[in-house]
Amino acid sequence: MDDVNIGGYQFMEATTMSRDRETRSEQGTQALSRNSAASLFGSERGSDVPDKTVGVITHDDPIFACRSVDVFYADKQAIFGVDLDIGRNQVISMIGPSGCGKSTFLRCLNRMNDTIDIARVTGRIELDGQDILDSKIDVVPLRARVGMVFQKPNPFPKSIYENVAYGPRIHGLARDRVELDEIVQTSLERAGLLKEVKDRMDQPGTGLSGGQQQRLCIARAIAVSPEVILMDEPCSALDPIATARIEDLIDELKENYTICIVTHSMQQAARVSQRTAYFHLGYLVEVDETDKIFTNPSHKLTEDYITGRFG
Amino acid sequence: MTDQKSEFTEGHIVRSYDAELDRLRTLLLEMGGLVVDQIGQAVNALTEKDRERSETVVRREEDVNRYDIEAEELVLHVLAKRQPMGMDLRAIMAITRAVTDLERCGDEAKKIAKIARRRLEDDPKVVEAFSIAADNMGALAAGLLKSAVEALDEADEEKAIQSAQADAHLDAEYKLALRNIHSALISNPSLIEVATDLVIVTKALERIGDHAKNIAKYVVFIVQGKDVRHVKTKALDKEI
Repeated sequence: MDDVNIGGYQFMEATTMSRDRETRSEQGTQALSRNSAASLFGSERGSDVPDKTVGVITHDDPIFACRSVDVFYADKQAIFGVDLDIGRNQVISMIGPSGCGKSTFLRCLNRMNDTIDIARVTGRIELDGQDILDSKIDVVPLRARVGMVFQKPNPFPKSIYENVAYGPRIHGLARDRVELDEIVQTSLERAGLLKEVKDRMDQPGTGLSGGQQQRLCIARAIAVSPEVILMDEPCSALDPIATARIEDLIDELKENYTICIVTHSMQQAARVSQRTAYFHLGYLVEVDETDKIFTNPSHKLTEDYITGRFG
Repeated sequence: MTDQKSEFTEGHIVRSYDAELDRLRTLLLEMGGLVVDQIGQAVNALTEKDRERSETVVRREEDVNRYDIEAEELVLHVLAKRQPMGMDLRAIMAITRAVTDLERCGDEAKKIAKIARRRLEDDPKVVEAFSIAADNMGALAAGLLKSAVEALDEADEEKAIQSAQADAHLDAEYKLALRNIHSALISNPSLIEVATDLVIVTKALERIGDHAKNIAKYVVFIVQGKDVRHVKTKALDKEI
C-alpha cells in the first residue's frame, strides 16, 4: 500500500479559520461572535434633511409640475421648496409623520389652502403647463379638475342621487335630466357603489355605512369629470373591508384619473401607489418608485420612517 | 458571544420588534457556529478515525435542523406581525436564505461523518492519505463559511466579497484532489472503494464552499438591495 498517495500535494493555507483542534469543544459549540466594530446599513448616510430631494422628482408625463413650493401659515413656514412632478394616470402617495406637511402640500394642488386666511403659497404649481397659483385662476373650475376626498366621509345631507348630481348641475355638465341620470349612474358605477344603492337613490347619503359614504364622496368627485383626485387619508375612518374596497377602487380609477393620496398607513401606500413621496418637517426628503422606497430607500430618514424607527 | 447591538436589530419604536430581530440574528450566529464546528468535527472524525466524533456530528445534525425550524418560525411570525420594510425586510430575507444554506452545510457535514464511520477499519496509510486532502479542504471550507456568516452579521460587504472570492481556492483544491484520486486509482485500482468515498467527501466540502459564497452574496443584498446571486464572483468588486 506504499504507493497510496491520494493527497500528497501542497494545500493553500486556510487563512480565515484557526485550526486549533484543542479548542474545539466536543459537546457544545460556540456561536460565531459579533464584531464590536459592526456598523450596519447606511452608517455613512446622514440623518439630516438633505439639501436636495433624494430620488427622482421628475416624471416623463407629468400632469402637475411643482417647483420651489413654499407654504407659510402667517410667518411660520410649513413647506420648504418642494420640487415634484406628479405623473398622469398614476397613483402617488405622500407619507411622513404627523406635521410633516404632506396634507398641506396636497391641499396646494387645488388651492384648498386659499380657504385658510393666514396661509400663503409661493413657487410654481403647473397643471398641464398652467400655473394654478396665478391669482387670475378661477378656483371653482380648478377644483372640478382637481377633486378632493377627505378623511371623514362628508356626504351632503341630501339624497344619494343629489349628492352625485350636485356637482354636474352647478358646473352645467348635463343638458337635461337624462344626461344627468347617466352621469350619476356612471359615477356611482365607477365608484363601485351602484349595485349597493341603485334601489334607494332617493334615500339620504348619510344613511349609508362609512365605507359606502366614502365611495359616495368618490362618486361625487368623479361626477364632475376631474383629471386628478386628491385623497387625504381616505381610509383612516374605515374598517379593513371597506378599506380594501377603496384600495381596489383606487387601482381601477387610475386608468382614467391621476390620484394623489396622503396616508398614514405605509402598507396602504405600498399597495396602492406607483410612486411614493416622503415628507419630513416640511421638506420633501425622498421621492421614488414605490417598490424602491419600501425595499431599498436611499435616505436614512426614509429608511427610519418606513422601518418604524422614527421617533 | 457578545451582546453587541446592530443597527438592524435596534432602534424600532416597538421594542419587542428589536428583540425579535435580535433573536433572529443570534440564531444565525449560533447555527453558524454549530455548523462550522460540525464540519471541523466531521473531518477530524475521518482523519483521526474517531468513532465518537462521527457519532457526535450525526447526533448534532438534529440541533442544526432545530435551528432551521426555529428560524423559519420566527421569520414567519415577524413577517405576519411586523410587515417589515426597507433594511429590515432585506436583512430578514438574507438571513432566511442564509439559514437554508447553513442547513445544507450541516447535511454535508453529516454525510462526511457517516463516511468517517464507514472507514474506521481502513489501513492507517490510507487514512493518512485521506487526512491531507480532507483536512486542508475542511479547514478552508469551514473558514469560508465562518467568515461569510460573520460578514452577513456585520453587513460587511468587503469581508463578504473577500470570502466569496476565496471560494476559488477551495475549487482549485477540489480539482487537484480529483486529479490525485485519478492518478492513485490508475496505479492501484483496488483503491476504488476508498477513492469513491474520498470523492464524496471532497465534493461535500466543495459544496460547503458554494453555500458560503451564497451567504456572502446576500450581504450585498442587505447593504445595497442588489441581487447578485447570479453575478460572477470575480465581478463582485464592481458591485460595491
